[in-house]
Order: sequence, then C-alpha cells, then structure tokens
Amino acid sequence: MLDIAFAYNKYKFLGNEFLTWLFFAIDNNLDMQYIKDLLIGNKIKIDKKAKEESLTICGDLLFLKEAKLAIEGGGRVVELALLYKEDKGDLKFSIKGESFNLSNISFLPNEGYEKSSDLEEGLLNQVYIYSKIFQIQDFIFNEFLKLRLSPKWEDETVKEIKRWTQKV
Amino acid sequence: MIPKTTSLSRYKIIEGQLKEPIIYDLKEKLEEKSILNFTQYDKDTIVGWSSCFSPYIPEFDNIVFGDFFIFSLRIDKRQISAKLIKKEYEIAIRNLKMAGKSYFSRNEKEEIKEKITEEIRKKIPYNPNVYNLIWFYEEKILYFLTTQINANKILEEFFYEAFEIRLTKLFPYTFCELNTDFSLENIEASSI
Repeated sequence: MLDIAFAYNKYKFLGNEFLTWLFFAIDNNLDMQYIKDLLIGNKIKIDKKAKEESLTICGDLLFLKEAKLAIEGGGRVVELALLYKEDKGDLKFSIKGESFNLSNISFLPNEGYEKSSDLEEGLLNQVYIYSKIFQIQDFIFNEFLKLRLSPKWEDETVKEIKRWTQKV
Repeated sequence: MIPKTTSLSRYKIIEGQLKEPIIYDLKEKLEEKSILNFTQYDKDTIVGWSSCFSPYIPEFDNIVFGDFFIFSLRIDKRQISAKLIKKEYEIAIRNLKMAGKSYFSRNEKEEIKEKITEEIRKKIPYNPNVYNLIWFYEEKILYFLTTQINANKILEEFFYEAFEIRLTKLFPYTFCELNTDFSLENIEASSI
C-alpha cells in the first residue's frame, strides 16, 4: 500500500470523478440499485479546473444547469448533497469526493412516523442511518470502479457525460 | 444523550486486536486512558477517553450496544489569547518603570513574557470537546463522528497508544486497497 498522505493526494481525482459521474447517473435516472431512490440535494460544490477556484451552487432547479456548465468547462464535483428516499422518510447527506467524509446528515421522517423516546432504540436508529448511507456509498462506488476501470469508461461513458453537459 | 452528528468519517482497523475477553479488555483500557486520569496539566491539549452518555464524568459501564461499542474521545484544550499576554506584559513593564527600572534587556523582556504566560496558563480552564465513536469490532470498522482534521489525527494516534490497534481512514484509495480487488496502479485522471 502506498504512503497514505501521498495516496490521498494522488487519487483525489478518483473521488471527484465518482461524484461527477454520480451527478450524471442520478440526473439520467440510471437503472442501478440505490440510484433510482437518490435525488440531488440542494448543494453541489465544483472545483473549476482551469481557474483554480471552486463554485458552490445552491438552489432547487436552475442550479443543476449551472453545475453542468461548470463540468463542461472542465470542473469536477468535489462535494455533492444527496437525498435518499426510504420507507420511513428521507436521508439527507453530503459526500466529499477526496475524503469520503459525510456531512450535513439528517433524517426527515414521513408524516406519522413516531420517534422513539427509548435511548437504546434511538441510538440504534441513529447508527442505522449512518450505516445505511455508507452501504449506499459503498455499493455505488464499487459499481463506479467496475465501470471506471473498464474500456467502457473511455469508449462510452466519457462521451455520454460530455453529451449530457452540453444538453443544458 | 444520543450521539447525533451532522458529519462523520470512517476508519478500517488494519492491525491489532483486543485481548479476550474483549469487553473486559476494552473497559480496562478505556479506564486506563480515561480523560480523568490525565495529570499532565502543563500541556495545552489533553486527550482521553470518555463516555458519550456522561462525557464530563466518564463511566464505561454502558459501551456495548447491538453489534458495536460506543464511547467518546475527549480533547480538552486550553487557549491562551495572545492579546491577553500582550496586555498583561505591557502592564508589567509599566509597573516596573514606575518602580524605577528604566532599561530592559532582550532577555529580561523574554523572561517577563514567559512568566506572565505561565501565570495566565495556570488560571485558564480547559475547554472540553467530545467526539463520539462507534466501533464495529467484528467488522473492523469505526465511525468517528466528526470530520475535523485535527481531531481525526489525534484519534489515529491516541487509538494506537491506548489499544495498540492501528486505524486507516477510508477514502477512495484506501477503500479500493482494503475493501476491493480493484487495482488503481494504471489509472489516471479522465477527460470527462
């Protein structure tokens, strides 16, 4: 295994490409487990390659177009807010590409959901939320790696992503 | 208190384990490195284990839930304000001048400053910061409920010091190396 600090910097791009692809996959409703239940949240942070600056886009509808334009200009998604729909409610969280740190985690229960006042149950529910988010992330990242390390990535996916960013 | 958080980072255990019986060994090591056992008050940062249910008076009776352990890392910090040192230093110099001393060598000035800093340090209390952690022992996975870089660095070092167990943070590269058979050897940034 490489030196951790060296590897962290060397493979930063991989996490950012993952989030860029995930944005593309969700926006195109890709037929993959978890993707169909994921929505883009209200924040996308993009590092603009050429200008060495970052752009944080917040909002509800028009901001997705702005984000696609930034990607077309060479930018990469470095942080992505997501919303995952579950039976009991929605999980909100953000993933940072280079570190896989999770932030802004919250659970928005559906109407009628009764929150437990029992300490142990509350704790187990909380841990369930964290584990579920990692389960989603791990599954999708594994699928991304399979694609990213296959010839299909350059032959098809890169072209599809380019077409998608141009279609604003 | 239920350990709610808005951010977390994840670690994989890559070396070391607790001794059997593991819960007994864990409790013993938590108590040994409990924040309450710290006596090196000459340092501005003190680190020790705590309980997420009673972080200020830690007890380690309630650490096993479901298939995980839960406890806290407490990092207590004493922050000495540079402005406060400057203020006290200028007052001390003025008092000495009024008492008749008109010249101060560089060494004397340094000594006065050091003495003042030490006096202030003794008076300033530590500010406690509690960070919960959830340890899936069998899975060798740990959730640390903060993404603060400094707290993460302290966790990695202190965890090894306390348990002789080494953690590695899971980020894209380590995830591939430790959790998958994929090789990143020939991969380069793509031109999306």
